[in-house]
Amino acid sequence: MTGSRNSIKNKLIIIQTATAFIVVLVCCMFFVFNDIRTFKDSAKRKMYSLARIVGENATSTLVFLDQDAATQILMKLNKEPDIVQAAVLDKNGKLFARYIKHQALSSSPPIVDISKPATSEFEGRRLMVSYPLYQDSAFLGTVILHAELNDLNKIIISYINVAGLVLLTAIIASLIISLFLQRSIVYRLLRLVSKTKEVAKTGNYALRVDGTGSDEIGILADGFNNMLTQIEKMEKFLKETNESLKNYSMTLERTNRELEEFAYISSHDMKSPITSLVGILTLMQQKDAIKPEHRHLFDLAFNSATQMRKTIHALNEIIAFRKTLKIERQKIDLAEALEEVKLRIYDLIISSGALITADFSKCPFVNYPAVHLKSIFQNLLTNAIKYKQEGSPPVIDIKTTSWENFVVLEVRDRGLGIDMERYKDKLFGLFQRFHIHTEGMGIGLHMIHSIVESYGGKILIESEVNEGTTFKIYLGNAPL
Amino acid sequence: MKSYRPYKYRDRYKWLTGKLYKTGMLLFCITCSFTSRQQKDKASEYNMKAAFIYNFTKYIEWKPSLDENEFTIGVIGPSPINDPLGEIVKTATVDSKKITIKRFSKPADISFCHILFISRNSGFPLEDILAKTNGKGMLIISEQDGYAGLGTAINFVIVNSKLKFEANTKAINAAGLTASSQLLKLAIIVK
Repeated sequence: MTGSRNSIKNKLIIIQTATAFIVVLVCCMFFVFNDIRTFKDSAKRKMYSLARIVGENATSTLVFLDQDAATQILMKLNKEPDIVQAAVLDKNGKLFARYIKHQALSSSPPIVDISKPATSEFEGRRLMVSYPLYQDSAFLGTVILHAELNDLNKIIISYINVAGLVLLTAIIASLIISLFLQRSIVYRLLRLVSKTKEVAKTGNYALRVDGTGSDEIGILADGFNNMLTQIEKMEKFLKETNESLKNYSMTLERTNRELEEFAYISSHDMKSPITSLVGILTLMQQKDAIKPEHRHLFDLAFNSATQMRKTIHALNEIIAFRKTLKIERQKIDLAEALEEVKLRIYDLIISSGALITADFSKCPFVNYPAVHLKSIFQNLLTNAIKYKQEGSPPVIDIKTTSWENFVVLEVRDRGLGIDMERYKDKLFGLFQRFHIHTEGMGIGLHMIHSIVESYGGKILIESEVNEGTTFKIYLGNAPL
Repeated sequence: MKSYRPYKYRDRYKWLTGKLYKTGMLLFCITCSFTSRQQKDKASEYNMKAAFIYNFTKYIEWKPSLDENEFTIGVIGPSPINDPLGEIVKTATVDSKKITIKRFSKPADISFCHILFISRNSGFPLEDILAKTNGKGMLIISEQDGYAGLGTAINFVIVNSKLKFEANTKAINAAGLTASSQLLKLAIIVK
């Protein structure tokens, strides 16, 4: 938290300080170089005028060959601390008179191209000026001055000191300015950041950033506030919707429960009257209490009553089954379970001549309630036998595979198949039937679906009419 | 007797004359070489003097003279300066005026010239010459010790075997001329 805080602060400070430093440094360098150049130029000019004055004075000494007088003139240069050597050459370039500040220093006579006009040259701190002398356009000789600009070093050092001081002042000033700037930029940004963090942490969208302005940070803060307002509004709306949905679902649940109760009560209450009705009808049949001309009507009534008794039994079965959902799971040997189911529907298998093969080698066990697993097996097998191709015995292949947390039970038959396009949505509905000519209550798939879903699985069906159907039952195989 | 000795005398004379001749030749040779060297020194001395005289013209403010279109240098008495001066005069000018040389044999002959050089060999009393030139704007140059003190404007002297000159500022001013400070700086000033 403090790291990010420091980083933006430091970045701004570094940017400002570096900018100030570079600007001042460039300025200082410019002024220092400019001043050094000016100093050198003025030194040149001074030396040149000195050479000219000496030259004007030395002209007559050259004319009257008075070396002593020329030397005396040159000696007056000892008042000039910079001049280390001075010389007058005659028109042939021969040394005429000379002055040397320190005798030890360079005793060799200066060599000068006498044909050259006035020159002044720098060699580091050393300046050499030569000035040719003329009288009535006749060349008389040359004056040469050698100067050492000892002040130059002093000036450079003092400039460096001043430049350093200026740089230091600039850095301090920029630091102070950046501190003030922080109040107007960084401080506000940091406040925005801390507010964002607070909102993220507490989830309180009623918070607002105060003290916005008209600059970019102000716009940002305004945008932030607007966003918070919208989020707050949406959150309120969501809460309300959620509340109403919850109420709605509670109402639904209650209604559902009532309906279930109602179905149970009505089916249960209908069981004994219909049983007794069928019993009475059977009794009537046995007693031959029906007139032959009413026989037909009686048969219709008897069939209807039987059908109704079947339906009411099925209803009772479903309601009873629903109460058994959510029972404990246990480890089941799939092969054993299949054998048990086969025994239960032994008559059906024998009479249809069904050929059942099972391969549980890949996944021999499953953690599932035994009752339900057997129920699934039984329903699938009876379905496969019931909806077999006309004229040939049913062939059923069963196998299991493992996929993620599921045991996939795959049951494949070569029966009538289901028109998937047509019945896609109705496959798992109660009392839904897809074949007219065979008998069935339309309970089987509904029960399987209810079981599989309540244990977190799913059912995939692949089917072609007159080709057969493959059920893939994903059994939730959670550890016990 | 005379015939007795003449041979002897003659012999002796011959020997003596021979000796004398030899010595004479030797002396002559020595003298000759000495004088020739002296003459050489003299020549260079007068070359310099001639050059100096010409250079003086640049450091003296001459009286404005409208009618003259030439600058004159006079020499009184025979002097070796004539030849080198003649050489200089051939090409040099003063204020773009041609230079001519006048030779005077005695003080009475002296007429106006800008510079009058009094030769060491002139042999005339200085007073006569000065009387003739006084106040005419003429620069009198001499080459004898003490002459500057006696009234010539400039006097050549040899100091440490170097050619120098004395300047009598009073005499220069009396002649109505002005000498440049650059000139006076190099001169030995005589009051």
